[in-house]
Amino acid sequence: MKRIGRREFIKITGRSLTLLLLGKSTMLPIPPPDAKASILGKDKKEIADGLDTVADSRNQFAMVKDVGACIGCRRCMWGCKKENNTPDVVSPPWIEVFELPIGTSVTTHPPLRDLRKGATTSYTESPKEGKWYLPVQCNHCDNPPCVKVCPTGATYKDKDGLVLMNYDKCIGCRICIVACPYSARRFNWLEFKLPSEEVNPLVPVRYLGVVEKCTFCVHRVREGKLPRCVEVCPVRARHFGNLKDPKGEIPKLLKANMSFRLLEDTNTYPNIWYITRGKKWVKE
Amino acid sequence: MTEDLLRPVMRTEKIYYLLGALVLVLFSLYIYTFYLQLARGHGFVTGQSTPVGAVWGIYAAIIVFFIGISHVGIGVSAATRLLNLDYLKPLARIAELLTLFCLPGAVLVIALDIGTPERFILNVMRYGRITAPFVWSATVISVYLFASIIYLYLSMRRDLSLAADLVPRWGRLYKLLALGYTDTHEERELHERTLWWLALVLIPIMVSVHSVYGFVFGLHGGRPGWFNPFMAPFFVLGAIINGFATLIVVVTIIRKVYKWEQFLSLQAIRNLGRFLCWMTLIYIYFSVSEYITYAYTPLAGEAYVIQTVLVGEFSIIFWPAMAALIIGFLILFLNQTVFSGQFNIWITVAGATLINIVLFVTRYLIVIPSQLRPLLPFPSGTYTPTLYEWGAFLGVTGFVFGAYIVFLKIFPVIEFPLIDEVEAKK
Repeated sequence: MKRIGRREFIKITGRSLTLLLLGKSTMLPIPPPDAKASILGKDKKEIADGLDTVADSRNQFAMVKDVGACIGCRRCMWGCKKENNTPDVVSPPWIEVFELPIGTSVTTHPPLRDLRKGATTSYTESPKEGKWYLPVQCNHCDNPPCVKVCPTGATYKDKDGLVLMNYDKCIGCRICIVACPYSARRFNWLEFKLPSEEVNPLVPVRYLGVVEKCTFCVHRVREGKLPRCVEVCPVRARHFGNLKDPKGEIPKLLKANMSFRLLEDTNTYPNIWYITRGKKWVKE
Repeated sequence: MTEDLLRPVMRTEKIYYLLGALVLVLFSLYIYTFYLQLARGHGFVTGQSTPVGAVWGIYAAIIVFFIGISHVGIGVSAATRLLNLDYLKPLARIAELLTLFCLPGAVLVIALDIGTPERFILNVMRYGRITAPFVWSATVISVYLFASIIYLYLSMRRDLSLAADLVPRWGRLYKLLALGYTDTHEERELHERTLWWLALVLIPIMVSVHSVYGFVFGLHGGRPGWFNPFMAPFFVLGAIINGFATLIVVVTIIRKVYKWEQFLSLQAIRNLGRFLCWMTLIYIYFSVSEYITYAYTPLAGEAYVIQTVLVGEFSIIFWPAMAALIIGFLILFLNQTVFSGQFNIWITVAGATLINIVLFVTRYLIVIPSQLRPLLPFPSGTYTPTLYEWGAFLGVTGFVFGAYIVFLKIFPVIEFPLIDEVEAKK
């Protein structure tokens, strides 16, 4: 057998590769963009949050929740579930409401002793005396840990401050769930079927194996409407608006009230503030 | 001599087919779990849940475990080359194979853990974002895997060309793979030099592979019990122990089965055991310092997690695991020192096996407890691995085992000694 030297080997390989590439480019028709997309399995419409909307960088959406007024009725939770096509198997839905004994702190992880006093999410009656109610959802943080760790950019921070999902990029690795200090993210653990008459056509229906979470009702707020949870709140404990608008409701509320945010030591700069303006507990 | 080394390739006993069948049965468990999960979802197959409960279950522990084992293979071989540890040379390839089989094994479990496995590799390549630990890990794992394959191949070329004429069944395959290698002096030199440089590059890649796995857990400020700069070195050390313990077991079994006592010397295995022994001691030291830090004046979240590990629901596996770690160390230590006269290789194997089991348990204890405690006042979740999840573990173990026996049947697994070396020995 003839020995082939290293140089010769490289030369031959190079030549054959060039030939192969040339041959390929001349012989095979280059597929049009659509055909390319269908090869990648993308012939269907993309499934993502806020598809037909445009983010405006003059907005920074924020929410103020008045825990002094909240009666823990969970209407926000169910309103959200219906609005956003959340199936029963995603449980709890995007909003979770806690019933907490008075004195339980949520600006950091509550100490064990406070937890044992009876913090719960599974209460059946509300409001109860001596308890307060804390609705929690995605905080659309300014420094979102979930976005940083996402390997595919499936979750991203948009120009108007919303943290959104592109479900078709999501590989379901769930590291965002691990990174989120607020446990605001949900995973599609099980198959489900939504009855088609109940589906809100403005919101994409997610599928098995991807992560989802509150979008601040991106399909509504970018059209100038309020998120569903704000709309359904019977005691006006929820306020929504643009943080960058100095005359807006949110900056005014924050100016007039003492506020706190959840788990502030995690350095996430949440866009949901909590105030205690409502006085439902004060008995004259 | 070469006939001795080629024995497994030339002859196939009946038991081999039995083992092959066992491997297939085991691997089908993995396939079954995978299929069910694809069809019905993770919630149907695993015990995982969110936000209350473990988001990553035992799969994560299995991944870290297999990556840990894979860590050492090429490492041992590279160190052998760089430090001229000639006595380790005969077991270099057996070690390299650990890397070659356990890394794909780990990737199999990653594919199982991922929610949408059909697009996981494609999407990470198309949209990969450099800030994500998983992108780092995908990068280093693939670099490590491909570098290892090249390394293994280059170091095998000589054996393939030598064995081509001796093995009628695989001769043509060997000839093809040897790519015209002739065992001349210059060619050998060239290979040695290439391998030396490759070994030099492989060592830092190897360290990075497991550091990245430490980062996957250690970078989350919002996870009590994980957020810890110690994570990366701790994982590297764990991987070294994991790998050496497995290597000792594998080498001893191969030595026994093929009666290769003259090639795989007792001294070599003994040295591996000695190294494992000291590394275990450092691991014990790392563990103690970590748990003291967690337990002394922890923040509220950490207090909760460490409480579940030390006295709560995980204490029933934590304390036995720690005891077993110390016993494993003592077994290795006493076998090497005090009872050095009666050194028994099977005692070392027993110690190594024990340490390996402990390492699996500690991985479990790293992964699970921190996930069960959300920072907000959710009720605490629980997690129990389901039979499916264990089945997947068995399946991947079967995969690695099967890959070994197939490789042993096709390729020479011990480097042929150089002729002059053999003569010098005589």
